[in-house]
Amino acid sequence: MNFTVHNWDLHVGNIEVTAVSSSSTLLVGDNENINLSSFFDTPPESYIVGSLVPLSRSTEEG
Amino acid sequence: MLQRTSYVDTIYVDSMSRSSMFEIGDVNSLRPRMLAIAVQEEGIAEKGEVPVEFADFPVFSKQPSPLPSAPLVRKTSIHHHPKICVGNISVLGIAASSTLQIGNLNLLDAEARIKHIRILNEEQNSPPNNTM
Repeated sequence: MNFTVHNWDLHVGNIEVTAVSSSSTLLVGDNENINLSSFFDTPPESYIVGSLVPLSRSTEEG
Repeated sequence: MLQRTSYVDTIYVDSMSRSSMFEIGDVNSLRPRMLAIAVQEEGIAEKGEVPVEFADFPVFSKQPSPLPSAPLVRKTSIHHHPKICVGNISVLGIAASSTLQIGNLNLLDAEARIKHIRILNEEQNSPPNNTM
């Protein structure tokens, strides 16, 4: 398959971004290849209620 | 192929952290990697040693499922105007294997793996609220 791109004038006034996070990108330019991956592991299985080992610190009890 | 040049008048970046990148210029390849274990322990205010290893959690070793192979495409870019013009860029934060780049980038392969752990005290009398 042949794919032809014509890039004409590109003028952008203002870009306002709060955050670029977890393998994302803000690119002003040309690019051939992008591969972004993000693995996120959050609760509920990340919750440890009570004093389950191995993560609680015995010196900090109370 | 003649490359385009990016022109930016002003850039404001407040903060950057954790394998993040702010680059002005052309780059051939970029492979940022970030592994993080975020531990929140109830009632602990100061930083402390937490005996956890990346090897303890499968999220850090799992391989992403492979992408389906892309069809063969012969791409031709014709740049009629050699400039990419941007007036103002304002970014509050760049974090976790992220990039802000002014310029051309051939290959970007970024990965971020984050494990969240919350350690709570004994269950209180009230039923737990939404834990998210």
